[in-house]
Amino acid sequence: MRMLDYYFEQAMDFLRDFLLGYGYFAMYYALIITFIYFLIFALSIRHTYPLQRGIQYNRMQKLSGSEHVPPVSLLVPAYNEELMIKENVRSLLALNYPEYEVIVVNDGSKDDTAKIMIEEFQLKEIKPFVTNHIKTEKVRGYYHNPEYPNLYFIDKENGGKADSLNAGINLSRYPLISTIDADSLLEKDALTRIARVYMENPEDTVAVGGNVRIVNSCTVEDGMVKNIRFPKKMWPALQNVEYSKAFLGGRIGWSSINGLIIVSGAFGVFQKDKVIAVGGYRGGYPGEDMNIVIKLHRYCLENNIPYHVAFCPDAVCWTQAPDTYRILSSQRMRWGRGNLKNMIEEGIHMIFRPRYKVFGFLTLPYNILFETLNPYFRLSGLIAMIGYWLLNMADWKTVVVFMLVNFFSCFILSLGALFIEEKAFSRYPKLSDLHKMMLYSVLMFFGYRQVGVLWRFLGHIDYFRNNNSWGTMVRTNFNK
Amino acid sequence: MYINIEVAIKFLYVLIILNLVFAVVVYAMKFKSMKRTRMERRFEVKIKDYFTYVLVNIEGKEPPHAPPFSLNRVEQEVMQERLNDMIENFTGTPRENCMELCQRLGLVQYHLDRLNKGSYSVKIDAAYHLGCMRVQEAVPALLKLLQTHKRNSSLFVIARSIAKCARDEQDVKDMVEILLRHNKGFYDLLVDMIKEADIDHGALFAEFIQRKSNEFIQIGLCGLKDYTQPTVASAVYRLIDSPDRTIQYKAVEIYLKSVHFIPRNVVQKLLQHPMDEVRVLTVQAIADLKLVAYIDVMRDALLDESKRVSDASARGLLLLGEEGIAKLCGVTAEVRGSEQGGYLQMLIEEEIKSLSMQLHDLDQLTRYNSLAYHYEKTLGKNKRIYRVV
Repeated sequence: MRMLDYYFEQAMDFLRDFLLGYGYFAMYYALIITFIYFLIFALSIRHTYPLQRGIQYNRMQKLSGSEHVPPVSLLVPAYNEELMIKENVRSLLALNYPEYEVIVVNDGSKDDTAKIMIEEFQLKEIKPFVTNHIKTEKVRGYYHNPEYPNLYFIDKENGGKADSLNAGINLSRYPLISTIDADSLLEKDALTRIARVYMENPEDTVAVGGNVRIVNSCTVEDGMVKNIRFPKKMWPALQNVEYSKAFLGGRIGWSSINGLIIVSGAFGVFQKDKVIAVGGYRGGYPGEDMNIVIKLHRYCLENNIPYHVAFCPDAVCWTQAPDTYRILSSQRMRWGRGNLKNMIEEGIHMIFRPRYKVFGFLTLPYNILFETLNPYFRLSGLIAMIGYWLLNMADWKTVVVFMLVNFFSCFILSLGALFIEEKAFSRYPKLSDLHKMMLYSVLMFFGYRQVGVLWRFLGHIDYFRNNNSWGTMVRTNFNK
Repeated sequence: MYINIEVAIKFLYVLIILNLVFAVVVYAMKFKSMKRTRMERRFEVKIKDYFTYVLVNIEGKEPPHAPPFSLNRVEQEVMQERLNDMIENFTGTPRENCMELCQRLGLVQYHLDRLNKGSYSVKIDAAYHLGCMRVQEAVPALLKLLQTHKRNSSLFVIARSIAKCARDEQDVKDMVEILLRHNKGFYDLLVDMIKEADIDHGALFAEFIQRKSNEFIQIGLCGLKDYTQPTVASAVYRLIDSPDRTIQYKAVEIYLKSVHFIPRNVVQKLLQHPMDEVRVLTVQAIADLKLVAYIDVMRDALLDESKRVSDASARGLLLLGEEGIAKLCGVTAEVRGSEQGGYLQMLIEEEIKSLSMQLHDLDQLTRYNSLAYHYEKTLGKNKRIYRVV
């Protein structure tokens, strides 16, 4: 009996030591992540001022009429987009931009996307000259109507979003390509705004990301967002503050140190020859938007090519955010799966290697430790908390203080994003919208972030189970 | 576990205070922006009649008078923006009258003072407004500001202002030289800015392409890309042999756009160029200029190693009348069975199909007949795929 007590005590001591060690590890982990968050936010705020000047003192209307802005091929992959494809294409055809082409790629949709496109725009099959830079699934036909001289339609076998983008690249004529989701709406001058950033450094700028905003609850007329409102429903509202924090608080800062790891698939512009040089978009898995940017970093750094992945927050693309738990969870699990795949495929080969500079020493460690592995630290942290409580290692006061420190150190970052929004953009004119943004920035910490961790974890499980389905996706009309 | 809870609590207090300060700042900015919007709206109503007066008298010999009431800072800024827009949109006398009105309102002196004495952000703001108002006296100070400015968006704001305010070509040249120290290939943006200057742009670009520096040549070529006078062709001709590939391509592009005839030796030189883009441009130019004399050259280009050149040549031959069509069908028959032959045959069949739908047009009917005839004759089909209507 005494022996048993002895071993039990030994085991308890070991567990206490282990939990103590874990506690120190978790504390340093939290300190480092907070430090990086604060660093990136400080950079974002610092760069807001020159950004604001760039926005304020450039006459977009005049630039959009200039023959010196670079021509762009807009690639619009479409899969089962029969509800929105007409409105989206019409809005793209009406952009204020001097020279561009719209290439809609039907990725073997099961609905009437192809039929609607062909009938609506009276398209006829053509045999254009198509390069074979990147291999794709079989193309069934190329369509065009001289009455819409800058619209092309590709009908191809299903191969995924990346494959559709690659098919679009093969047909495209211009040196810049822009990827746009078929469920998104570009603002009229969004391309001109991105072109301005590109024109200021055309040699080095290999990619420019646009800002994605949430269109739910806004009024859309003739493919244009007329009345901007904060989303009424809970899930889009939470995503709105989350997007604002990620795009304004994060991407401005990452871009300023050339460490941006993702250009949103919803809207971004790329140098076509660089995309072809890295083999085009990687198919078969979600996260192709992150993958292409990682490959561009890698290609340029390995070949000593001066480059910059820029972010243009005033070039806005409005997108529909999932408004139900089911669709949102499916999207986030997909993102989690894509992120893990990218880190396994590319990230671990580049991390902490001097040749990859900021990208290898800051972006990737941040992404792997604090994004990819985040669910595991969170879940182990929760288990450790239970352990501290059971072993009387921490009192309630300590737990509350640390939870409050965590809350306020994260909430200040949300406030930073709101500061940038008000300072440089002020897109939501009503005071009530600011109240709602504040409210949802608080609510994010009570359930939404935790469930986000769970979705990412489930995404990882899907990855290891080789479940590569797209999951739930429901399209609705704009103005809903 | 040893945790200094007192330190953590102090840190928490600091965080709470910082959060509160940030929240107050965000709300203060919102209130300020809302107040400004309200003031702007009120002023828009108040100034409506005055702007009607300005628009009515904008083309008069005398510039309009300043408004008969004093303006506060927000109102002055709104007024400035409206006048900036008018100056940008008007030309000639209306623009000059608006510029004079800015002078009478004291806006010119106000911004000149800000440019000389203000903080960095005030200087950039002043530079922008002085540029909009085309204030020539501001050029020396703007050039000085540009000299020491690092490369970011504001650099181009100042440069554009210099171009707008430029007194002569020399001011623009000075601006270009300063910007080229940061050279990152922003030639198109530079040209776009130069075109805002009130000078003879064509002469300046033509001068630039005579220089030895590749940067100036690139700017000159970007600027000349829309000029189609034959004099431009002779100016860019020597650059076709430039060691720089980009310059070569741009020079060929401008040359082919601005000539009415291409000598045979030039055609041959361009069709032997290693860049397939240059060869494509050449065969396209031959087709556009309807240079039937070069059908033999186009025939050779059909068998070019580059598919793009072959494709452009085939499409070009289709536009060169009966003889061109006969050559295209003849070559297609010769290479029948190869990948290239298959592609050319598909192209001809597509054209026949497309022309068969436009038979109401006499020209298209003639082309259709000619193409169908040569297709059947050379490619040996037993029956016509589309009947002549």
